[in-house]
Amino acid sequence: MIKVDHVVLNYGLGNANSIASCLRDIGCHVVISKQSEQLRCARVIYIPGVGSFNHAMENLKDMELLDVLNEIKENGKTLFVGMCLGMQLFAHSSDENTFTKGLGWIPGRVKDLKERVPQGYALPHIGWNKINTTSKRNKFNLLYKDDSFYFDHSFYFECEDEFCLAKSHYGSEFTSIVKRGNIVGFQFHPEKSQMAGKRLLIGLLNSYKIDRQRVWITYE
Amino acid sequence: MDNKRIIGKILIDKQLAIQSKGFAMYLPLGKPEILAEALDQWQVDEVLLIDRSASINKTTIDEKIVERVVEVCRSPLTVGGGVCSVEQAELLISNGADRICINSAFHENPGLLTQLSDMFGRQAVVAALDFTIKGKMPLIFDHKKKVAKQYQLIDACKLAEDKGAGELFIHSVDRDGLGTGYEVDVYNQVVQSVSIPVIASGGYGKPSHVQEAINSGVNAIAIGNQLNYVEHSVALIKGFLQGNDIRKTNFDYRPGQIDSCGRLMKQNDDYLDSLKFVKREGRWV
Repeated sequence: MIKVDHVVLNYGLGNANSIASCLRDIGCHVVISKQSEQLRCARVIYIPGVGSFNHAMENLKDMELLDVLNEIKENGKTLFVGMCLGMQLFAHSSDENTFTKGLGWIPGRVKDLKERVPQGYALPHIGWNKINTTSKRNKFNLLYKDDSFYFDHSFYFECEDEFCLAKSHYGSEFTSIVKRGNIVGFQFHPEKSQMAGKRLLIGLLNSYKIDRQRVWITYE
Repeated sequence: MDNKRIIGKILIDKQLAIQSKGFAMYLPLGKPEILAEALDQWQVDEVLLIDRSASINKTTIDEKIVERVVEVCRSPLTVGGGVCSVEQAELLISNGADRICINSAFHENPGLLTQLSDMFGRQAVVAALDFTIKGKMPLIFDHKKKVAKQYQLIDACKLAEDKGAGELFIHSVDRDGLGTGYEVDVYNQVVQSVSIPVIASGGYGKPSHVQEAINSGVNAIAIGNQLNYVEHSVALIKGFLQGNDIRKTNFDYRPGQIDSCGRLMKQNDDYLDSLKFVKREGRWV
């Protein structure tokens, strides 16, 4: 087996392929996988997401990935990066379609944007939007002030301010980046945000001091 | 907020990107991935990939095309063409599509929209509706018989919203490829009757047409043929429309440099003269 630092989780939902090709652009050696051995030796696990919350959790249960992911998270050595739905899965629960429990790694709930956005704003929120970092220090130092990112969502992550790293404005403010230790989630799609997204991902990997190209090959 | 989008539309027929005029005349352009790569580099806000022949031949858009496009294109990608089941949509999304566009399957089976939005969320489902104007009424256009149905566009839009579409792609058959401007009144009616975002398509000729469409309240404007004529076409259009809630590009085009047809104008003579000689100040270190 080839040990690879960057693993995109394949759980049946989501655009794993586009995350993988974006990571290849910035020089990462990346695989798309659902094997537990591959996930255990990864340094970064990317959780893609185009889908609904309840189906995503069902898929994780059916593929017996929940225990593996929880175990890896407990070890605390791996960086988890969630994108769009992948980020929402970190929450305790979601109201999408039916009430569903999430991974529960970051305290918070996923709620409908309808409750938050005033009338006159078309929903779902689709399009490019800016993000405003809430802390004074720019965590991912490659984030520029004018950068826009591609949002495509109808639900948002409601969490406490200590876990919220950036907010965006569409009618009213909502969380766009969450972070708790080794877990980072983006409400937008950095893999689909052209240069800005690539810069953000490079900044993220640099800030966690993760090598982009290292590969181990073990002969068994 | 940069919430108005300029969408680059790539129409495919049998693996080949084509230009379409009035749903009747088709000209070949080349490989779709090459067009997509160019659009991506010119910083288009979204790419729309539609297979025209798929639903007529009762097949689905080839997922290999999607895979090849995703390899080179870092822009959001919406894919459509003959999708009529959840499994097909799943295959396209796992190959890298962000959103799925449904056209004829919606008329045959509106429940498909509900299934798709349950599975992938509302934001991943786009309902495409083609309309033609008969007696001042926008009516749905039938692809197979090539005539207008006795079915109001506004009714279809409302049905699509109820069934779970996340966005409407409204395409004018009459103005397809003519470059005479968008059907602003129709888009105005649609925007007022639904609460989901609307994409206007069909009729782009010059950048001021986009301005008119934005004023009618749509959230995105799709442009097909005209993007393929000049270099940096997307950046030029966005440069012309600066200050309009549209995402800026990294290209340094300003409204004064672009003429009304969306082409780059000649710089004035003083500026060109100044380019001949390089002015150096200070000493070499």
